Amino acid sequence: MKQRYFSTFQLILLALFSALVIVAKIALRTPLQMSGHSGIFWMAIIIVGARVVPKLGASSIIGVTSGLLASFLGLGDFGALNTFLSYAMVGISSDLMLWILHGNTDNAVIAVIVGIFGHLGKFLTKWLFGIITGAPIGFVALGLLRAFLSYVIFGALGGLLGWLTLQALKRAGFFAYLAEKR
Amino acid sequence: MRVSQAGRSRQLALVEDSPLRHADPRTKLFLSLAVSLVVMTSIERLLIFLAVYVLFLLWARLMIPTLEHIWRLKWVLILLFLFDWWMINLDHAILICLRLILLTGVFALFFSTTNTRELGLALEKLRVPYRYAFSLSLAFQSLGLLDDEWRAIREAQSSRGALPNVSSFWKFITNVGDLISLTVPAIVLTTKRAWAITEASYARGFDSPHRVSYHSLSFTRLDFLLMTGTIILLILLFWR
Amino acid sequence: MLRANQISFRYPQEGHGLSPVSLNVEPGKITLVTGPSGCGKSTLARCLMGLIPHLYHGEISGEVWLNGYRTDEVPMWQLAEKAGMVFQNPAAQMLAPTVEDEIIFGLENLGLAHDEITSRLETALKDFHLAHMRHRNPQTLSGGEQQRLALAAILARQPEALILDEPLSMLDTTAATELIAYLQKFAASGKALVMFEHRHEYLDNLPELHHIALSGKERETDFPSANLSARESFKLNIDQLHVQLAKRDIIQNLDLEINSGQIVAIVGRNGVGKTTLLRSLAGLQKHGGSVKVNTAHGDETPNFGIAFQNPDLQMFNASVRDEMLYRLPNPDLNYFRWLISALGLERYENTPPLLLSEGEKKRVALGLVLMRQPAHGLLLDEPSLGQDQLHKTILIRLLRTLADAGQLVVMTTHDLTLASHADRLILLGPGGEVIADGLSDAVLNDSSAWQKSGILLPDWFLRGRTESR
Repeated sequence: MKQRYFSTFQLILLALFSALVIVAKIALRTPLQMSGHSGIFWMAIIIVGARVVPKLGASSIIGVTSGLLASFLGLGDFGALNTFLSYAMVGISSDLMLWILHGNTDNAVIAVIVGIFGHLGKFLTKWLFGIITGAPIGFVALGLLRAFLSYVIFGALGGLLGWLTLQALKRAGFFAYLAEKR
Repeated sequence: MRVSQAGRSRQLALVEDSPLRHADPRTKLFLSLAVSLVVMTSIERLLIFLAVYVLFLLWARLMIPTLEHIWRLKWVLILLFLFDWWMINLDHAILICLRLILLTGVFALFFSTTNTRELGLALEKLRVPYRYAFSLSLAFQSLGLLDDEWRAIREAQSSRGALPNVSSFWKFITNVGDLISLTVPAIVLTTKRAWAITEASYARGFDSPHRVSYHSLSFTRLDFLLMTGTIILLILLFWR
Repeated sequence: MLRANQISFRYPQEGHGLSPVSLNVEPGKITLVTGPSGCGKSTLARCLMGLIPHLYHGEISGEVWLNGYRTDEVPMWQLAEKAGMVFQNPAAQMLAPTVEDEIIFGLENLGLAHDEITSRLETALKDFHLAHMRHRNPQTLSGGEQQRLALAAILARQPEALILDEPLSMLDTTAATELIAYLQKFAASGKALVMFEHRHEYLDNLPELHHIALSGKERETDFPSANLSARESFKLNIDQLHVQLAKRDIIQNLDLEINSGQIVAIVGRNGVGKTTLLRSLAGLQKHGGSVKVNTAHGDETPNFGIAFQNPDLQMFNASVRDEMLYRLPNPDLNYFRWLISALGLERYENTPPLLLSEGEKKRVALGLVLMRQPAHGLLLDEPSLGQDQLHKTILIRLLRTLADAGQLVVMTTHDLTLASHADRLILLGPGGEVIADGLSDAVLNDSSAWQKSGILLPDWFLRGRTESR
């Protein structure tokens, strides 16, 4: 087998994790109707993905791929460009945070920090989108601070859920199963 | 909404009778990016562009999906318009709303008229390695299946009393750890599926250096016309 | 053409793999490899195809020769030009958006000219009766159609050898018989064919069959005597049950009365609504009409435990014990000990469920349902999938014990041998209607009913019944 940065299995796995992000976003709605609440599953999947494929760029691939999927499905009210960039930024900011922290999401604190900053990547995109359209005032009026807090809380919870999922996967022998595969 | 339903409505949203279905995805991507640039121009030029854009949408049979999209944004637009009119002036309010409408709708030019196979081919033409384009197409195909699996997990766990109670914000926070009864099986099933696909694809010669593409994309006169027209329009709009 | 010489393989984790085995697959014959669960059949199949060692980490020794290539010395794509492999789960190996793209995928990888791809595509669609569904999404096909498509996609590449890993396990009798016919044709053309299969009865009487039995570590376990408290008798009453899915009537006005203390098998072709019926009984499916349990004290809401087809939907704990006892307030540990022993899972008590075989996981899933001691009994969706003969026997004994204790056991199955052990057999027709309902023996003898249902009673099954009489 040719040695590559991402093996074919890893690429397919990341692509399917991206699909899982979309499924979590649409199908697994919780009864909570707070801005950014779907981030909990979203960030959890990214945190797990970054550990299952422990290479820089893994989260970005999940982000960009899920962005393309979401754009094709017509998710989000602000158009395909905004949707694509929001999803992509979640992955890219998670990768950036992992790079800055020099760690992996096996550490609960790192998982939570990556969860928060990854999710804030989406918030940042929405905010920048507002600035580009020249509508920051309106955006502030629509509850910038509330949205920010909500993104932080659900990002952190997503990071925590991702970390808990990783620990459960470890105990369940998932990484031994994974170790067989190239 | 179910993902499989979203997928189906997505299929419906693919505007089959649009002349843009015959254009190369790269051309459509260029068109979308070009329109995104135009929003930075002044209100006078933006209004002129809008007139041309409406004609273009009518020709491309994308007017109805665009109007539907604007309708989805109605409350945000009304709020923004009133707020900016009150805080700044009418011109600014109009400009902001026009920009928002254009920016949020423009990539529909691409996504409403391109299917996933064409996207894969376009990515290959844009020098994205085939392995990436292949995994992207797998992600699209797996949406319905993964959706069914997530629902089945929910059902199976609820039938054994292993579904956490997340009916309120506080219960959600305190029971967050119990959500692993959903996330762990989902990750395991997804990983197994990824592995099954990897094996199946290698058993059919995946990664062969001799691979050819049966379907292909090619630039036609339509692509040439659309590209030239867009460039001319851009030059006119940004000229001084 | 395809030869293994003392090949063995050990996965990085301890405890499983393949002990040294030699094998020669002769062209023109079907080579059948059988053996108990865990003996390494799937591992051997992957060694023959070259997936091991190309896609797997682990320790390999011995050698495999495929058409003059030593499999560990040439790249995987080159091996795939000489051999093809069909896997157990038909849905999991589908990787293209349409039926025709599924076939084109393998042909593109061969680097063929456009016209040659078109010609091979059309031939494959015609030979495997897939032309009328060429634009359909493979995930919407039935299991039998998917397995046919997987075979078409491989055979269009014109390999010299074909390796099949339990291709029949998820198919009903009709689809399995059809698949065997295609395979016979392939072998008759002088190609090498090796098949790894639990359900060898489909092949036993084929001429030119080369049968290799792998030995396993599995021992016959004694079924522990049960001390289950007897349940009060009741009657499950299904009145005018009606289920609609995606605007299609799946079950229409179904009336059934089923007494407790028996095993009931529901049989029908894929897609006739067997699982939907089980889900309705479990309260998981919105339906019209009523499903009630009549007891001496009046009507009750049914309280059944349900064991799903895919055990991976439920496993997330660190050990079999934790999985079976998860969230049980006061577990009956004596019952647990009996159950884990009856399911043949004693030695896996502290093993993570994820590391078990599919058959073992199915037994864990059954165990966790039974630990909750549902009041009225058990519903099982295709319980024999992935189980070898020994564990099928264990399963039947367990179900009989539950039924003898007064519980109701309802199972859907396309395994006719398992169905023949039920007390009552309900045969569903293509529209979900009841075609035959009665004692298992009587229904199995009603050949016109089976004809109506579209299910073929295979020769081996009929022969077996005649002999047992």
